Amino acid sequence: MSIQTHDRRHQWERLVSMPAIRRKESAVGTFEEPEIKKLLLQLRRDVVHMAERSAHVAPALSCVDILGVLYFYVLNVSPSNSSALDRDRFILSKGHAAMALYAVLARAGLINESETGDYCQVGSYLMEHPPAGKIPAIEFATGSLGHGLPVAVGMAKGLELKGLKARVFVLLGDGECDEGTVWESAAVASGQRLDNLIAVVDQNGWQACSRCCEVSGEINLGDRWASFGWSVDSADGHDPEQLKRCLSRRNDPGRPRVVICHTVKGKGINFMENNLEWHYRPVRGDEKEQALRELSDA
Amino acid sequence: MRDAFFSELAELFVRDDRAVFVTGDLGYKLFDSLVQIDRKRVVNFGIREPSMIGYAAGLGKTGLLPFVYSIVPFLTLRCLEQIKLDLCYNRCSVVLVGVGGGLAYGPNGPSHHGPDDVGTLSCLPGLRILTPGDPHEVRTCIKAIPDLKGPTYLRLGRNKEPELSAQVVHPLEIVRPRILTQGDEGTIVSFGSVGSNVLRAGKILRDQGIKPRIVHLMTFRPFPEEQLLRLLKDGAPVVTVEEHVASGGLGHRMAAMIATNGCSNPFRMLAIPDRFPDVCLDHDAALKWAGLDPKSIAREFLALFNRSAASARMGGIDQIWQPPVSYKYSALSAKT
Repeated sequence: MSIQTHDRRHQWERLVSMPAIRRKESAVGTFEEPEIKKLLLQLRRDVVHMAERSAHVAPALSCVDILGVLYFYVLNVSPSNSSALDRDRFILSKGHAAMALYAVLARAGLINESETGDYCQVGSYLMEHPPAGKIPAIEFATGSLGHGLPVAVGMAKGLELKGLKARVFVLLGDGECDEGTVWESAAVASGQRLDNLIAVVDQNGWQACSRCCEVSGEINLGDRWASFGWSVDSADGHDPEQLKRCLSRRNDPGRPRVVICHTVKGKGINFMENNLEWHYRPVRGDEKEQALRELSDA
Repeated sequence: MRDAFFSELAELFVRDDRAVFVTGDLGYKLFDSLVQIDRKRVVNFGIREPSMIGYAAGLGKTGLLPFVYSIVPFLTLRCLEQIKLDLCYNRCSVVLVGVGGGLAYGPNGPSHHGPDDVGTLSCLPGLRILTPGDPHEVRTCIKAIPDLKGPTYLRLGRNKEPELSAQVVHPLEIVRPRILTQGDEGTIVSFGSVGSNVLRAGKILRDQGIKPRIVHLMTFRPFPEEQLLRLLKDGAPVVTVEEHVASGGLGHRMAAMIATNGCSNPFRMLAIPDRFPDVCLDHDAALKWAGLDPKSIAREFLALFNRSAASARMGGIDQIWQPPVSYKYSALSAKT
């Protein structure tokens, strides 16, 4: 058992010691299909490795493509400007998808890659939800749902008051849209005409114990945001080309914008897709091997 | 205190362009002067307090200094998790300004009372709690705030509170307990606007020949334990008075301090009872209901003083503290 664990550990260390696939400044505007596909597969494998030690693999896999495209092709954030005042801000409001965020930050060189190998180990800063204060690339600690959007609205207003051109992106889950604070702050963003704010909803159709429509009815999510005065875009949340186009687009003047991303919970691993069990189960043993086989480059 | 807050904030608005005023749709006409200085830095966030806290955290993260304004209960207990996570855990320099601490909104009833803010917020790591008791202390707090890092809760009374003292407090000294009246026959400690009732209780006691020291705290957290311990060295009786429930408040904090440090001072805490008032009360009547009017405070101090004197003579053990005399509506209405 201990040898096996050691082997896995060794394998993981080797994997994370690979040179990061650095985000190229020139990559904005250009798009190399094979490169992004390869990156997104790699991020999925990184998530599966981390998921050996925690729950929430399926919600991480439903948004990892969005995060990958954001950090590698949309946000003006790089290791050299991670504390610049005019950097774009990103908040992962569905904090339980932290594995996806850590994987992306590591591959983008924004956190030390060896740290992801320590994810959820005793003593690691990388907790199951994004932590505060210890990792500069994490703009805001989350975990309890419904906190990210109000904070993002405040950041967007703050940047506007300071005359900075940066944009604020915030990723929410569709289950998270149960929270009243989402709609409280959606109204304010509209009232304050914040056109430097983009909310991205990872609409995988599930919340922790049910399908969203079973809990909140068959209400069209896009219509709800539109009724709050937001511009509404939608995209296939697993299609990098669509995501890049949709996320990069400038907002209409004076309007906040939401991008509804249609996603699959557990995307990329057959036995996890749309199976609520994988909101909870760590990925271990044969299941991990099988998941990694499904995610191989070949 | 409210007028002092707005006029001092207006001065800060002029000299510090980080200051932003965010209100939960309260303070009609009170922030007009701020609008005149810089309309862009005044935000009516609407009636959605929990999101307003997160919004202020976001402003704080871009380097601004938001003052978030509402009535105490709407700003504190309604927003507890946002204060804990968005402000404390994420370490945002945001000032929460709660108006109407304790029973200041008397006739509005329990929905508008804030008797439990300080104790509840004291559970949250890294939150500073300022409890000025008069207009001068409010102004001093506002002067001190721009140099402080991290979240601050500023608990205000309502309006027209008298100045507690002619002494001037320097902004660097807001944590130091303020000795309003010198004395050597025991100590009465309070925070917030109930301090004026404590001063009046002190006068009643003086008329009876007893000279307690009157101490006021304009900062509840960090708690000025060392300075208070020095004052308690005389072993004389100590009474705490707070416009707040006992749980998590000044009395509990002092009792813990006394017990932990092995002090021998006889001790009594006066606080708002653990129940909702069931009739309409103005602020003064509410304080009387809570046993926090000058006469009740003087009576409780005197009782402790006499008993300690007697038990000191007899070498006996002091009695266990009893809650303040329970409110009797008929008795009160007869007086008012």
